[in-house]
Amino acid sequence: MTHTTSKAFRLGLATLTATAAIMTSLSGVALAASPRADEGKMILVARQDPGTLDFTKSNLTALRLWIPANVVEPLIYFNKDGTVSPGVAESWTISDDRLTYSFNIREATFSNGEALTADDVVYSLKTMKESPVSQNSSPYQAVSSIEKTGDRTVTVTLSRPSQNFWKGMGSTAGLIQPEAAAATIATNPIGTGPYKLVSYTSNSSLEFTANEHYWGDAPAIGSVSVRIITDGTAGLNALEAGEVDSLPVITIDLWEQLTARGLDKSFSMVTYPQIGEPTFAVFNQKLDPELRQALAMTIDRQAYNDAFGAAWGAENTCTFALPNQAWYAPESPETCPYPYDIEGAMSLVAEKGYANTPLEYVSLSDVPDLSLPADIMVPTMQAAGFNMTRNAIDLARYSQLIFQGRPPQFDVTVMSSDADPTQWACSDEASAGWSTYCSADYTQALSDADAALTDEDYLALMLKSAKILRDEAVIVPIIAKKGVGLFEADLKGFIEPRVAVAIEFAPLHW
Amino acid sequence: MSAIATNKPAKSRRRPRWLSNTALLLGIVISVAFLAIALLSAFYLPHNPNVPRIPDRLLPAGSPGYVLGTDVLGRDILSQLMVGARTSLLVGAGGALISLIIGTVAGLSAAAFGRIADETISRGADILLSIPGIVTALVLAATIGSGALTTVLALSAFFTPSFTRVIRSAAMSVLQEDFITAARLYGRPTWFILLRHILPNVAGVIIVQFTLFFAAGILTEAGLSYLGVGVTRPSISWGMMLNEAQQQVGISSPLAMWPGLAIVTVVLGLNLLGDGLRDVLDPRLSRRGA
Repeated sequence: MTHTTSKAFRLGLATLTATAAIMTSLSGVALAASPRADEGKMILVARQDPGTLDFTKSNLTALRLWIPANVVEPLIYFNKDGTVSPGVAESWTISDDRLTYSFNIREATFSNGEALTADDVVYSLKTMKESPVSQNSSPYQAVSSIEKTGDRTVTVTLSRPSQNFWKGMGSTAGLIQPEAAAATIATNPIGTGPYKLVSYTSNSSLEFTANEHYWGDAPAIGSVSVRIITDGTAGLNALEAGEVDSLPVITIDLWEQLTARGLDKSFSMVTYPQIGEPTFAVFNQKLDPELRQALAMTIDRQAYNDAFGAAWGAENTCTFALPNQAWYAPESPETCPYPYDIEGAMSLVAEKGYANTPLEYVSLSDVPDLSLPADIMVPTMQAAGFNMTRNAIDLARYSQLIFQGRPPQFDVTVMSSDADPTQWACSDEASAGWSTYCSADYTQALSDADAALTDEDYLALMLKSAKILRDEAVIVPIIAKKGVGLFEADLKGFIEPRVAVAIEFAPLHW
Repeated sequence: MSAIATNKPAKSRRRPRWLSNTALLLGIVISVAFLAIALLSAFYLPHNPNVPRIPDRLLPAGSPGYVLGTDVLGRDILSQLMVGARTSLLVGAGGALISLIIGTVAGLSAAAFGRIADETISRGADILLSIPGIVTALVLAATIGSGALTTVLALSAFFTPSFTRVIRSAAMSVLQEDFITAARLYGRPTWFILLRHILPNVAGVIIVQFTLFFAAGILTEAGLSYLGVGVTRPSISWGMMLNEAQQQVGISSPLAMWPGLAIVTVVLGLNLLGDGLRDVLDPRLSRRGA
């Protein structure tokens, strides 16, 4: 009797354990799968509200993440492997002298049901040529005419060869919209992309649905919601709780938290360079070049990278570029003319008497990832002997001082921005940008690169311009931050942005 | 004789009232400790609170050399708290003191110099009270830059109208007393009555209000610094520490706990001190207690 009871008990226990194990595994599966997978939906998180959806007048990342490629397509797509795919242009021809580009426009329909015409392409390109956004208009600097040369052909003529023009046609500068819908572009942009915008509620969400008129294959996920959650930690919490399916862009201030919470293990983490930004010091160009060089020698890039506790998301670099740009180079003795050398800096300070030169470091008090460099750099510069004082101000005042300040209101500051090298070009010193940097040699090198006839020449000249920027020690890169995103484990198919920083919905699938 | 002497009731040796007020004693202990730490920080700190030591980042409390651990850049938390105490003392007390001086002058003037002065000062205080303190601070930060001085000015602008109304009210009450009427009949000038009779009689109110506004000043300063419009490095405040720590809440929660605990303790101590002083100094409360 006792033996029978014991056996029955053991059997019951084993059954219970097995059942518990099965239930646990089943519940695990149930927890892992998004409830939206079966419904053909997904919810993504945005940190910022775009304000306007007019991509011809706004360059906000919050807009460029969602509208290009998904709703509004460019003429062509540049793929990661260097190949070029058709977009609104079905095919194209380029003259040998690279002065004439003919685009054959595909037979397609906009998401509002109107037919795509060559006139719409001419209108779109001319609108971008006049755009107040430099990233949109600068590719057209060499363009002398944009004409409809056939029912479905548009010809662009250049006054000189321009690499920037060709690259621009695969970026926001090449986005094609219907002229008839231009009046509503700020709230309802129309395009030929795989999705159409259903609604945009300011500071709340953007709703997309598959475009039934799309010329390509229908996307796997028919309904996409982009929910605006400005607090980064709240966004991570929403992902962890299964309320959303992806945070495709996670800023550097959350990276350490992300790994500390193990989210990189429980979700699919992607890193990609396109949305990344270089963080760089700006030294006033009016300062003595040797003083700038000595200041550059106090920048401990590794310390800065370590301070974020997420070295996997950023690389130390002395080159103003991101890893997807061919002229990019990680920190090395060859690419860093003024590497971290605190003792060397101290010697220079003592030798040149820089301790008698009062210097002001202007830092941001309300942007953590731009305040942190000051916390490291100012004490280090003071330790090297520089007479450095720190002026911490909020973003509103910073914008007044730095972006509109003439003459320059700082000696040292730290910024983070697009890795567009042309932003440092200037025709004369009086028109120098907010950085106060202006170099005729650098501007000429960029101009020569733009006019290069071959990719090899272009790269060589971009490398030359990058070297000038490094040697001048006005724009001094510290790290190149990558784009970091988290996706629900079952949400597959992410591809790196092809149109500027746009996150493409169409390749994603459950 | 001896028996008579024995039966004579002994002279009453009552303890001073403040010694039997537990809240007051606790408030004194906390406030004195706060003052001592703030003063000590001017002469001694375990580490330079602004110098980063990246290899020591985010060490927990009790780590060798770091009693309360380190922050995201390896800076000593204890040293930052000590310097933060000094900042809180200077900013909180500075704001409260400026408000006290201006508010006392304005409040006494409103009470004593007739209806026109009263209406002008009282309505002016009403207008100032209708402007949110945070807006004043933001405007000041945008125009003259953020920092300790800006915070003191913002606190002064924020507290002065309240101080004025409290002092005016207390002075009006005293002005109804008979000894004021007697002084007037004696031909004493108004300024003399204010200094000789009113001010000493509202001193208790002033002291109590100062401690309460001191505590409110520390809280407000922490709030402003947390929002990035108060104290900024290389100065250090508890609110600024909270601001910096919020990035690490999911990684190292004690980073936010220490400055939060310091703010709660000191504000509680000053409030207990204020309440206790009111109990001791207010004669009506004294009589009720007796």
